[in-house]
Amino acid sequence: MASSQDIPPLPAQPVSPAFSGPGHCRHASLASLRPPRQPGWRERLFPPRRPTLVLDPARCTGCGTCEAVCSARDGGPIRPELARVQVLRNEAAGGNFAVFCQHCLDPLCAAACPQRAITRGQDGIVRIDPRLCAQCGLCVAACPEAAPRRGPEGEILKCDLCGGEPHCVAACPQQALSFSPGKSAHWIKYLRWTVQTLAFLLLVVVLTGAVCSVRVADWSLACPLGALQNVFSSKAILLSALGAGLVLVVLALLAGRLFCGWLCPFGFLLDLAGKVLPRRLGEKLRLPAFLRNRLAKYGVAGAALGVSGAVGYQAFCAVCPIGTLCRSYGFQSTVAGAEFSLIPALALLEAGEKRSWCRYLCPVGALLGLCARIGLLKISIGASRCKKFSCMRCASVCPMGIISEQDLREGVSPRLNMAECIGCLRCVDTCPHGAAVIRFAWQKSTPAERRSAAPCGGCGAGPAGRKGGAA
Amino acid sequence: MDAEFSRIVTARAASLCVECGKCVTVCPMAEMYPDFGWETSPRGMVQLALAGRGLLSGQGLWRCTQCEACTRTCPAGVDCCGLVADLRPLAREAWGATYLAGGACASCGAPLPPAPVLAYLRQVLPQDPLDYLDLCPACRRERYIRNNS
Repeated sequence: MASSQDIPPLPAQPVSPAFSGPGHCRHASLASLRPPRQPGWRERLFPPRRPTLVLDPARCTGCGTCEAVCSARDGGPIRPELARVQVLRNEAAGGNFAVFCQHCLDPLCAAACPQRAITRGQDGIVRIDPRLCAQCGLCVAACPEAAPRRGPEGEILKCDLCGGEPHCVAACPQQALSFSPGKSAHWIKYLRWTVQTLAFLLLVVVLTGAVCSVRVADWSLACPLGALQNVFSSKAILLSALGAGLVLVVLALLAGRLFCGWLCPFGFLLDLAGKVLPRRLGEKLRLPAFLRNRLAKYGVAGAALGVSGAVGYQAFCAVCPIGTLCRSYGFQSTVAGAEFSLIPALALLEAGEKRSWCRYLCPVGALLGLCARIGLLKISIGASRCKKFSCMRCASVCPMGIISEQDLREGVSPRLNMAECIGCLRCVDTCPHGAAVIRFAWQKSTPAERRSAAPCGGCGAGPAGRKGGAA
Repeated sequence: MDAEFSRIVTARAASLCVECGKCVTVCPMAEMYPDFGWETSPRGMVQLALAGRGLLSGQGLWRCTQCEACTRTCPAGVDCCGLVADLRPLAREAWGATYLAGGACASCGAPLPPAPVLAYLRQVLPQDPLDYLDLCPACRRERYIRNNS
């Protein structure tokens, strides 16, 4: 999404000294016309919390207290049509809802406002400057949920969070509205980079080739694809050979493709390449369209097994970038050109789509993904806390691209396919509202869903739509 | 038709206009349309209405957002916004300009903003699927609630 940065800044006009004295221009609103300041390093390292209003539709009884309190906030009479929050009651379906401004990160109303009266302040609150507003109503037309509304005298009403202490939250008798000060779990990325670095050092430098196979006492532990290829090429099902691949399979059954996001040395290399490579290479460096299919990796895995059965040795391991990288350390294995050539090519792809290899091609990831499908853990984006189109940070940060921007734009909180999720927790890390959470696969993802699972008898449908049915 | 036209022009006090241009300074159309000019500005439209020609066929009537900023600011008391609102049905009759008038809500049939206003929104809004612009505010809220509860 573009933002108010797209509005060109006012050209600096030469002002004659006679008119530039202090106090000459009384238009304080000129300050709000300037483009917002770019965040400094401190804000990037420790992003400020973003306060938000959260509605739990399962608790809302549609009583309208929030409307009454909101309309009388400034000492006026109680007139629900003057409220900045709107309660919508659906008696047929038995559900209630309150519509209020989500305080978008890139407000669409601000992009549409011809008077540039709408700005997002440093405190994260989107406000309409009444001195500039012409009441044209374009903000109402531009908002996907029509949160700003027109009052009876044509004035535009929009929530300003009461400057940080919303009256509606204090008044709500059911605590359906709550004020969340925002969340900052921005330490996960430091933990992940540390674990990735240590895993890289351990698997590549200390235990060279440990991903492919490592001997622990009498057992030789191997990567699951290698073990399967072994079975196919030797055409004998040996319990020891199958058991060798079990370590990563058990990990995947417990926690999904955690290996891919946290441990895989090649994944670490790809993440590093993505940090280093310039973004502008991105459009040119992409996989051909027929390979950009998430099912391709299952094809690669099948082909690897078939070819190993035909030639009688582990065919894929010769070109496996993970294995090649693991075995590349040290003098004795200065790598043969053909093997190593895959790695820079795949790392270059990182300039375009993140983790292209892991998304579309990696057969090891395909096997782990099959296990993760029935895994214990899932990452879910809770419907009531998620701010949908107004935020979309998770979608932009997900290296596997499994968070659907389309869903978010349509106001649905997306479901994640755990077979594709590498468990890097970037979404959990980034979500400023605490909507992305780790849950057990059988859990309803948010408290709202759990509460409403049973008592929502009126509509008969699952409480959180698509997610309720699946989880 | 002409009688109706002059009745509206009289009722909205267009003849009081002193061409001071205060309505032009507050009009949001100046920011919305790059080719904002005299004949599409509030002052120009009042003058065209007084002259009695060229207004019904122009785009100006349909570019207006009906914000009433001009009416509120006019020192002479011309109801410019009301003039535009009243002349729109005449323009639709005379010119069949339904393509400018804008459609109706895809779900409930309520009138939407006129086509030039929606075109402006489609141009400035960065989001990709803008299909919600075909819905009236009430239907949009309905859809949002359906998706989230």
